Amino acid sequence: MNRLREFINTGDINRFRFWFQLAAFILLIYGGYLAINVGDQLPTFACVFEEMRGGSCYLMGFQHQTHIPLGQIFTGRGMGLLTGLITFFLFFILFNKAWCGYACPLGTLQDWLTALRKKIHLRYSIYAEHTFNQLKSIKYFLLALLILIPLGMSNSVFGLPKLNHDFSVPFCMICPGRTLLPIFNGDFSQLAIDFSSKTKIVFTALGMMVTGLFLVGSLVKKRFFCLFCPMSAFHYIFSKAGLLRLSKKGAKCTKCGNCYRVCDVGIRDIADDITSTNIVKDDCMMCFKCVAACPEEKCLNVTFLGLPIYESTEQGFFKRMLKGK
Amino acid sequence: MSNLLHTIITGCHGLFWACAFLLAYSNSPCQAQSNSDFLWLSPAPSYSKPGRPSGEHDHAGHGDSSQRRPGSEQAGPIMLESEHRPSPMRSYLLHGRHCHGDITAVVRRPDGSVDPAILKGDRVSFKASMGDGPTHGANNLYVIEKWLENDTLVVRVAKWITMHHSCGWGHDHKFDNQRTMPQGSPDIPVEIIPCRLWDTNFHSSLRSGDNLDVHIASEGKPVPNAEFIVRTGNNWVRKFSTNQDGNSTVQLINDYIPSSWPSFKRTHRSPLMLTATYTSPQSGTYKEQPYNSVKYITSLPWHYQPPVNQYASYGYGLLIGTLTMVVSGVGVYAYRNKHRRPGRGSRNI
Repeated sequence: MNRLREFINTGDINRFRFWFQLAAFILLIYGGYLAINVGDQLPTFACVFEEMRGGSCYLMGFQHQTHIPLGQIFTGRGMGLLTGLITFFLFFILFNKAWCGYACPLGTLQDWLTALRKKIHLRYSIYAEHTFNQLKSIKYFLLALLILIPLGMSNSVFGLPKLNHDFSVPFCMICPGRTLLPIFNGDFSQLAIDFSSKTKIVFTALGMMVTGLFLVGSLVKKRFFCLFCPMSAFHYIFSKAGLLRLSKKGAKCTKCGNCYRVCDVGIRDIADDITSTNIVKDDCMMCFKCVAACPEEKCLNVTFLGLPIYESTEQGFFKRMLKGK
Repeated sequence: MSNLLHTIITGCHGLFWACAFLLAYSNSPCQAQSNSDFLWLSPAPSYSKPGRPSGEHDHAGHGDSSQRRPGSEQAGPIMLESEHRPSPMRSYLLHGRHCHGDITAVVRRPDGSVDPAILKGDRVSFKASMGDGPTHGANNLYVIEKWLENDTLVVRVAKWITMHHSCGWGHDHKFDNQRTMPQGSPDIPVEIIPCRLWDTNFHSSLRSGDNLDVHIASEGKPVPNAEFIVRTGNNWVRKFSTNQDGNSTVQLINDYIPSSWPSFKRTHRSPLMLTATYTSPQSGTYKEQPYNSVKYITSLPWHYQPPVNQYASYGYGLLIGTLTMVVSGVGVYAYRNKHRRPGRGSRNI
């Protein structure tokens, strides 16, 4: 048992993550060819616009289900919304925000763009702390919009007219997952501007602009889109209940800053916070690169149902640092 | 005047099948004039609460709005069938019924089971349980009418396919061909089985320009050389014959040409009436009366939508995407030049 633990703790998490992400990408993008359907309330961007997907992103269903008159919340429609949320919650708590770091096809795509950037020796960017703190609130704004806009289709707010049906899935319309993921199945149809209504024109044009920003942003900034992702904000609401956890023993932290430097998202708190035990922040994608980069014995720990599955160790740190030298 | 005309046309559009086919095949109960007329079904109009704002429920599919009972100020919008709006009870009107015909009505469930439908006058109904189960998917409603005319037994079958689905129930059946492809029933004397009407998520996918492949079957067996007729709402009619395997194909024309772009609706449903006729030299007795041949007539109403390439532009999409990439790329480059820090270089962390 100790040898197994040593093998895991000294292992190369990046290599493991690369292969895991690839497998998850194949499953979620091409799973349909093998008649696989993992579920329709997945806490990750398994885009519903991709016909042969192996599961579906919950945000699409959630937006559909929040298109509900307030008077019908305690009817069958409200039950549908509740059932969807419970299913999403059950999927989510299994892997917590590791859905982002290990399973999200859009996240994987960003990591591949980062790998491309390294190949072409392009300098990477990081945000200044105040910029980071300002930008991170955008995802909560987007989450609020994706709830309020469908609600505005069924309910008149302040006597204003109800929104038309083209507002039904507002986030999906601007999500780069809609435009980019179907391409992996040879479907380029989502790259078009829909001229059938003014709302559609605006949404599809915004979608193409976000796609352009996503491609350029992800090339120069690691996990560029994750900072704005409303799914990440949605995750954080339930994150405390996750069975998979990343915890920190502040007494062992020397504030060397290794964990912050390797963090793809750029979370400073992972290094600065020595009081919190649960170190999963709202932008964290639980990639566990911080655990691999930590030289302090059992300072950062990944646990599942309280059982340690991956821990920072001095031996593992030096083994990884000396690799290839 | 043109606005008034437009209002009338838009209002009539709400009656969909009734507007499209009643004009051409107007009939009241027991009005089939000859045995060449077909029996057909249309959804019984149901109305939402009076005064309910248009746009809340009135879209047939995804957003086909402005459908209101003509001449009624109080009535709310007519609720047409939608593959996204399941209903515990489906009701249909029967048109072209013969005075002396014997009628039975059955419904084929997505799991292949067949249940009797409720027939009251010219109204046919059946129940479907809500939620994912044996009724989740396409339910085929059949009304079978038989009568003897001289020495010919006339068998007419009106078929209607309705999708009983809510996205909230999930799409677990998307890999199940029995659910996602239109199915026939081996107990039905004659029927038209389209080969594909919707995508694997049960969303309508038949569009102008598409090839509609159909199979004509009699008690599950293919019918060669049957006369297959396609009629659209604007009375575009084409006749075909089925091949030896009972198959035929028709390419759907663009039957929807709105006067201006603002009046264009991508979810507009152009009605389509498919009928098939053939005579079989079978002899036998029906109600103790002999016959020397059987004439089979069947109908299947459906609909199709404008093609995506009528309102979607890759050119503009790629232009906007490319422009955004160029502008943001130049922006990043300019920002980096302005904020160049010594010794930062390329760090492949």
